[in-house]
Amino acid sequence: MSDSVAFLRDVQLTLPSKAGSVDILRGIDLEVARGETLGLVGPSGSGKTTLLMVLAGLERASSGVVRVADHDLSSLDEDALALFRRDHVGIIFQAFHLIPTMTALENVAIPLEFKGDEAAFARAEERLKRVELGHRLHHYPGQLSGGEQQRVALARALAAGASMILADEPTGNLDQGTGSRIIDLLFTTQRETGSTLVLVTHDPDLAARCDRIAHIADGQIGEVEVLAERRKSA
Amino acid sequence: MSVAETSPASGYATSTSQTQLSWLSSLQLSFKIALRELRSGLQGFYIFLSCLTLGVAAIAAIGSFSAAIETGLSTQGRTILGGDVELRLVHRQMDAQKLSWLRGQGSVIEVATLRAMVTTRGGGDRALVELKASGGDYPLFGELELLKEGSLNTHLSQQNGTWGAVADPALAERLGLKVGDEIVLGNLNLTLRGLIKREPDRVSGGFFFGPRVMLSKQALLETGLVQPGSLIYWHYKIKLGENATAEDITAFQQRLEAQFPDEGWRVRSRDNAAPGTKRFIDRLVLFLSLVGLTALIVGGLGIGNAVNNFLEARRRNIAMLKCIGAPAASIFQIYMIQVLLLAAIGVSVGLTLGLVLPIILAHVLNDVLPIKLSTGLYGLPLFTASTFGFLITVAFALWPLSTARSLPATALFRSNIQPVGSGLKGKYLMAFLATFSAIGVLALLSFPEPRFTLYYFGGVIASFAILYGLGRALVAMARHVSRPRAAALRFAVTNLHRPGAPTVSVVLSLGIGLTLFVTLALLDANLTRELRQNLPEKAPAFFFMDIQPGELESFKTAGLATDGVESIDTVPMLRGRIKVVNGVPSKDVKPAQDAAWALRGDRGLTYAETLPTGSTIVAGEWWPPGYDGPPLVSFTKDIADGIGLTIGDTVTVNVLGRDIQATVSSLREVEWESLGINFVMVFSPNALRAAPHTHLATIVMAQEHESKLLATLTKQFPTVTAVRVRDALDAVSDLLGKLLFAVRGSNAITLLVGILVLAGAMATGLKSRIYDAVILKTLGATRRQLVAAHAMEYALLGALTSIFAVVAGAAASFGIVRFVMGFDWAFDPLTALGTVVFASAVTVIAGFATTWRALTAKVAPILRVD
Repeated sequence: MSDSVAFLRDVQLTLPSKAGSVDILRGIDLEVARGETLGLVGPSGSGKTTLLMVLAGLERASSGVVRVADHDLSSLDEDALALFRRDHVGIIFQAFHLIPTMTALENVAIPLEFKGDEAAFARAEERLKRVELGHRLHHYPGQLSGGEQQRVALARALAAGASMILADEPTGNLDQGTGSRIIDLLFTTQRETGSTLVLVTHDPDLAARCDRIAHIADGQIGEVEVLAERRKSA
Repeated sequence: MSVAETSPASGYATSTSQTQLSWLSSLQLSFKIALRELRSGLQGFYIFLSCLTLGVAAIAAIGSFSAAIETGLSTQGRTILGGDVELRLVHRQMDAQKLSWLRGQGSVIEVATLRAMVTTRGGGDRALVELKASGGDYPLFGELELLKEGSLNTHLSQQNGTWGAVADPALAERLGLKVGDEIVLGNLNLTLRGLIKREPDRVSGGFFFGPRVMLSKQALLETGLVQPGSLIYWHYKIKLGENATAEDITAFQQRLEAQFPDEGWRVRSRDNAAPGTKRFIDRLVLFLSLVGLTALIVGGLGIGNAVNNFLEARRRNIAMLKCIGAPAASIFQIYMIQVLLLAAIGVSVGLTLGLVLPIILAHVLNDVLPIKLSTGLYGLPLFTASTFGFLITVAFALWPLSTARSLPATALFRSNIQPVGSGLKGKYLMAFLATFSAIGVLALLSFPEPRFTLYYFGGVIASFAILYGLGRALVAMARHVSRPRAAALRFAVTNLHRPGAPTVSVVLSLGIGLTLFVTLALLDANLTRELRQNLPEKAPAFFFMDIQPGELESFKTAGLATDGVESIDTVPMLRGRIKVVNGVPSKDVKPAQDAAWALRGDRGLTYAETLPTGSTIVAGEWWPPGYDGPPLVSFTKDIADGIGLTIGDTVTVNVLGRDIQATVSSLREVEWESLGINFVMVFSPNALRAAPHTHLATIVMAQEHESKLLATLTKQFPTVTAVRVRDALDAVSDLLGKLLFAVRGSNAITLLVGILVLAGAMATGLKSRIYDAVILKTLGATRRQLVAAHAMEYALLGALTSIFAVVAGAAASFGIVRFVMGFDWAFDPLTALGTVVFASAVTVIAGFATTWRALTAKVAPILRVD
C-alpha cells in the first residue's frame, strides 16, 4: 500500500523472563495510512504500548516486518533508529518524560538541535507559543503543571516536523478538563500538520475521535472499527 | 496535679518528660526503619567502605607502628645509649681526675669511635669502616650478639701476639674476608675473629658511612690512628645504679654541670638515647600520618558522593516517608543511622588491618631494624584512627543528609522532575564546621610536629575552598556563556549548569584527586632526583681525613704524582661546638629549624688566611693577611640568619676543651653543590693555629685512576682515612631509597583511594544521566552525539581541575620536600603535566565506562516504568 506510513506484517515480540519467555505481540498485521488517526484500545497488558514502542523503533520485534515511513526498522541499528525517530516520529508519553533539568524551551529544542537546526531555539519558541506556553519558556518541568508539561511534550513531539505522532495515554495523568484540552490541541495540530496519529488509550470517547480503532487483546489485533466512514455516512 | 498526669492517654506530649520520651521513641523508630532499609544490602556502598577502610587502616597502622618504635626506643633507652648517661668528647680522652670523679658516680666504660681505612693483608682491597674500640667491660647494657659462638672479649684479645677484631658481615662480603683472615688498620695487623649480628647501642651511633669494625682500646692505640687532632670521639657511658630512676639521672646531670660547667662535652641521657633517629622517625611518622589522613579526607569525598548517590536512589522512599508523616528530623536520623552503621563496618575492618599490619611488618623487619619493636595492642592509635573515621564520615555525609532532610513530600508525585535545593545551612553548617574542627584538633593532638599539621590543614582548607569556588565559577560561566553553535558542545555546557548538576562535587573530587596525584608524583620525582643526583663535573673523588701536619707536604707530593690527579686542595680541620651565642648559652638559643643542627653537637671548623674558593662575602669583610688581633670568625649567611647572628656579634666555641670567643666579621654564601671543602665557621688563623689539628684534603681526578690513588696513598699513609665521594653518596642514597620505598608504599594506598573517589565521582548522578540519555535517544540523539557531549563535558571539567592540580600539587610537594624532608625542591613540568594528562585520560575513560551504561541502557523499560 503506497499511501501507508506504517506497515506491519506478522509481528511477533517475545521477551524473556525468569518464569520463561512471554509472548507480548503475537502476529500483528497493521497498516496505517498517511494522515490517518488510529486509536489502539484494549485491556491492560494486551500489548498496546509495546506495539507503539515497536512503531517508534524503541522495541525491536522478534520477527515479522515493521516498515515505518519507508524504513525497514528491523534492518536499522540503534543509531539509525535514533535518526529515524528524529526525522519521522514524535512521541508523547503518559508520564511526559521531559528532561527535568532542562527548561521547557530546551526540552523542545533538543530534537532540532540534534538535527543541526541553527534556528532550533527560535522554532522551539514558536512551537511553545502555538501550545500557548510562550510565557513558560524558561520554566523547568518541576515548575509546570501536568497539563503544561504535556503541552511541552506535544510541542517537542512536533518540533522536528515528525510525520507520525505516537501518543501513549497522553491524558492518563491529567484531569478531565485539562485532558480534553490537550486532546483538542493534539487533534488540531494533527490536522494542521497533516501528520499521522497513533493513539493508545483506555478512554472509548477519546478513541472514538479517531478515524479507526484497532482493538488489541492478548497481543493480537481483533476487530478494527472504521469510524471515519461511519462519520462520513452519518 | 500536673497536666502530664491528667492527660496520659491523649497521645500528645504534654510535659518535658513525655517530650523526652517521645524523642527517644522517635530515635528508636528511626533505628528500626534504618535497619529495615539496610535490608537492601551494601550495594552502592563498596566505594564508601573501601575509602573508609583504607584510610582508617593507614592511620591505625602508622600509629601502631610508630608506637611500637617509640615504645621500643624508650623501654630500650638504656641499651640503645649503652648507659644511663653518655658523655662524648671529640679529639681527646677524658683526664684522670674527671674520670675518677665520674667513677665515683657509678660504673663507667670508655669507648672510642672513629672512621678509618681497613685493608686486606698485602694491601689488596680497602674499605672505609666505622671503628669502635672498647674495653673488656663493654657493653654496660644489652649484649653484643655475634653470628657464631664466642665472647667479644676473647675475640678482641691479643692471641699469639696478634690482636683480634669483629666486623659487620657487610665488610667481610665487600673485601672477600672470612673469619681467621688478617686485616690491616693503620699500622696494625689484626685477625678477623667474628662477625657481628646485633650491636646493642648501634642506633645511638648516628649515620654510618661504612661497616662497623670493633677492636680493643689497646689495639686501637697500637694502630697509630690516635694522633693529636685526629677525629676520634671518646664516649663515656655511665650506669648510675641497677634501678636508677629519671630523678637519679637529673640529679646526676645537675652534679655534673656544677662540677664541670665548661667541659664542652655532649651529654645524652637514656630517655633521649637516639635523638637523630627519633627526629627522623617523627618526620616519617608525620609524613605517613598526613598521607593516611589525606587518604581519609579524599576518601571523605568518596563517602559524600556515595551517600549522595544512595539518597538519590532513596528519593521516593524519603518523599513517601514524609507523605505518611515522618518529620524532617526523623528523615535525617534514619539515614544518619544507616551511614553510621555502615561506617562502623568500614572502621572495624580498617582497625583490624591497622592492628595486624604492624605486627606482620615487625616480624618481617625483625632482622633489619636496629632495635626490637614493641608490637602489641596500642589503644591510642586505634582510638585516634576510628575517631578520624567516624568524624570524616559525619563531616562528609552531613551535606547530602541535610539535603535529603529538606526533600519535599511532593517529590513523590513529581518523580525526579524537581531538583532539591542543596547546601549546608544553619545548624547543619555549624555541625559540619564543628566536626571538621574536631578533625583538626585530633590531628594536632595526635601527630608529631603540630606546625606542619597546621600548614597541612591550611592547605586542605584552601584547596577545598578554591575548588568549591572554581566549581561555582564554572557553573556561573556555563550559565552565562552565549549558546555555542555545536549541539554537542551546547549540551556539554548546559550539563554543567543544569539544576542539580554535580559539577561542584565533581570539580571537588576530581580537583582533590588530581592534586593528590600531582603532589605524590612530584614528591617521587624529587626524591628520585635526590637519589640519582649526578656529581658535579669537577666534584672531588675523595676526601682524605686525619692528615697530620707533618705528613701534609709529602701527602700532596705523593697525590700529585699519581696518574689522573688534577688538583689537591687541603685545609686544616678541627671539631668544636658552639657554646655561647652573644652571651646566651647555645641550649637557650631558639634557632630557625633549618639552622638548629649547627648548634647541636660538634661541628667541623677551620681557619684560613684567604677566602675559601666557592665562597662569596655578602656582609662584612675578610680579615687582612697576617691578621693578629682578637679572634674573628666568618659564618655562612643561612646559619648566621638562622641563629640570629650579625656582623659584630660574638660566639664562643669550645675546641679541645678550650673556649674561644670570636667576633663575627663576615658572612658568606657558599656553593655547597660543588662538594669542595667549605665550613660553616671559618676562623682567622691566629685563633686556631696553635691548637692540635689535622688536615682535610680533597682530590679532583679522573675516575679510572681512583683505585690506584687509593691504594698508593693508604699504603703510604696508613693512618689517613679516605672517603670516596661516590661511596658516601651511595650510603646516603641507600637511606633515601628506604625513604622512597615508604613514600611509595603509602602513596599506593592514597592513590587507590583517589581512584575509588574518582570512580565514585563519575557515578554521581548516573541515574539521571541514564534517564536523560534514554529520552535523548528517544528524541533522535545518536550515541556519537551523546559521547561527544559527555567527552566535552569531562574535558571542560578535566582542563579546569588539571590547572588547579598542577599549581596546588606543586605547592604541596614543595612544602613536603623542602620543609618536612629538608631537600631542595625542583618543579618537574613533564612529571606534573604527564600526571594530570594521564589522570585526566583515566578519569575520562572511567567516566565513559560509567556513562556507557547510560548510553547503552535499554529504552523501553525506563519509559514504561517511570
